[in-house]
Amino acid sequence: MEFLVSFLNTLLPILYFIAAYLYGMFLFRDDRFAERYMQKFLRFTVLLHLIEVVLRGIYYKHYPLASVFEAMATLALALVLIYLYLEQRLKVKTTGYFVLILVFFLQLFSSAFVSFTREIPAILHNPLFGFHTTAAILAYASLAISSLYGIMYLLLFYDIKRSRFGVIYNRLPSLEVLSELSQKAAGIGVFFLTIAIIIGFVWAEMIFNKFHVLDPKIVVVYLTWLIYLLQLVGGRILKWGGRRLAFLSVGGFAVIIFSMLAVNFLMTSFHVFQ
Amino acid sequence: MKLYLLGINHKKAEIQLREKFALSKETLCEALELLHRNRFLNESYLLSTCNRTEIYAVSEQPEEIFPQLEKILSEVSGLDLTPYREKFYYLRDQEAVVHLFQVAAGMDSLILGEPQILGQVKEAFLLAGQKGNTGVILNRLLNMALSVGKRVRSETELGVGAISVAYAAVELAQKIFKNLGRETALLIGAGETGELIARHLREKGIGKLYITNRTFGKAEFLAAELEGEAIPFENFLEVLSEVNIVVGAASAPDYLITRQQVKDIVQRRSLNPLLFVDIGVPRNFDPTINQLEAVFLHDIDALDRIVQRNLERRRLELPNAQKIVQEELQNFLDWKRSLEVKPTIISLRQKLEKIRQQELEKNKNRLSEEEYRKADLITRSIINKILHLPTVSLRKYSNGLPDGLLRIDVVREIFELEDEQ
Repeated sequence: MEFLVSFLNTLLPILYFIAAYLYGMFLFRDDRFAERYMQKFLRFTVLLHLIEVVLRGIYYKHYPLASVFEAMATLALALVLIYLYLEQRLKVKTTGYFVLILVFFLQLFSSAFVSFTREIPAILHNPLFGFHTTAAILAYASLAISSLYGIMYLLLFYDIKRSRFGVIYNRLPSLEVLSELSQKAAGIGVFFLTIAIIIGFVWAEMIFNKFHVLDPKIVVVYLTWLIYLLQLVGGRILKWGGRRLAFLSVGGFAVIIFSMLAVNFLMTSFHVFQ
Repeated sequence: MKLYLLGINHKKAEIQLREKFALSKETLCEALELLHRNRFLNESYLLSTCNRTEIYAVSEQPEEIFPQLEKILSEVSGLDLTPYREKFYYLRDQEAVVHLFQVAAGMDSLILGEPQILGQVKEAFLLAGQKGNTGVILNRLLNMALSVGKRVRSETELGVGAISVAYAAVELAQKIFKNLGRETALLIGAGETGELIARHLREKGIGKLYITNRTFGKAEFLAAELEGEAIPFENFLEVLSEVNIVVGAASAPDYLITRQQVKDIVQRRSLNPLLFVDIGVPRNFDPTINQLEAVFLHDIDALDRIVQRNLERRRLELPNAQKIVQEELQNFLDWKRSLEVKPTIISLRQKLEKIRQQELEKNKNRLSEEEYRKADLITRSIINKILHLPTVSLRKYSNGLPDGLLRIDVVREIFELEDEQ
């Protein structure tokens, strides 16, 4: 089984690269072959990825989130799952390339640097860890997708404003659809982030005697949550324009990156990856 | 039996000459009648649009065919075409097939990839069929031409993207709004291009359409036709706050809508996008309104850039469309070759021999060597006797008897001889 896990782990970046290539061919060249097979190929890749995660979980006896690199692969899987859900829901296939490029790099780094071990801290065997991290990963994946659609919105917005009618103009869906995709992904993200925060509190109360609600990592999460909540309220209740919402979404993603890098590597927090 | 084409189109002749040979519905029927009655022609088809008049004919008499076609076209158009011969093209066989396929695919059209031609080819095919002008060859060829047209449209980008300023404006609106059925548009000035934009918006299901014009009657007339609402020219600013698409197509010395007017409206609209399409010369809208949040302004030059880009995209698709034409040409030639008698008889004999061998093989174990030899002889003799009559008939019909090709085609079809070559 170890060989199979290792084989799949090596294969996955290659498969995601091919999937990104097919979606790219469809986006830039409107290639009919790519259009016919890209979705099937991506679904097949996701299925293999799910099998790899389950096999890894069974063999190494822990959730697939024991290190930063394991989390990257799980984030890649969550990104694809949420993307496929949105693609199915809104019937927009020209945006997959942007998501899959991110997925490919996440999986590439993960497969290159990950080292699997059975020896992980006992705390990570707690079922609440599984729920907390699964919700957090799904939340971050959704928010990343929301901001990717935000970026696409801004690219198309400025292309139309400046009368540039290139591939972005020709191939991306309308501004309204991109904004809707970004909003939907943000909605899913806020939902899972709320769950992750609540489970995190309950779990932290149980295991840490001195749990600090103003820990830097937690503060960054509050900020992310607030930004995306503001995006949802701004879009649905205050009827803000798509450009402002797109900027909020992209800004929220910048905060996530900051959270992943700066807080983990530069600051002291109780909340770190091993 | 060969295919011939006599034609004139926008590439070789100017409109002044083309229009003289363009046929109305009545003259078209008259021409089909003359073609049908002509003893040199086995089959014929006539396509006449504003950009081309083409006669396709199947005949066995190559030396007579073009003079006959020239005579008929001169007769129905009332103009002797002899002095204009260099403006016509005279194509045979493969060249004629390729030309028809390219015509059906919109590759030979004045506006590259335009879709109307496919409908015109089909309509002319139906008419020729009704008049009894088409036969086995042209029926097959025209069906294949329609299929080429559909394949090129679905498998290439030859028909993609707006290639008129009016349609580019509507495509622009579709790049901003998801569903035009939920949007409201205002057309200022019911001139030719403005009217065309309004028609395209209506075709795309625009939710509500206001039309205003200095001559109110013209706005009322167009509004009635397009299920819109006419508003007096002095009052159009009143509806500005409820519209999402504003088309300026009026002739006016000054801006009809200023930056300040749009700024006031934008503040009331919660940043919902507002698209201004300005095709007026001089421009109808203050160009600085494009700087306002959630406002998009495009003038005639921007729309023309979209059109030019799309035309370039279509030109780049020509090699892909040509590949489809070549594939279908090969299919047609294979089919046409199969209509020759000799390969049909050989295919039929091979088919029956194959069945005979299979049946003998199946029963081999049940028969002694002697019985097997006898069965082989008897079945061979049966096959030869069965094949004798159709072989004689096919040879007879191939010597120019009426419906000969049709019968060969039927034999090939009922015995499924496609792959037996």
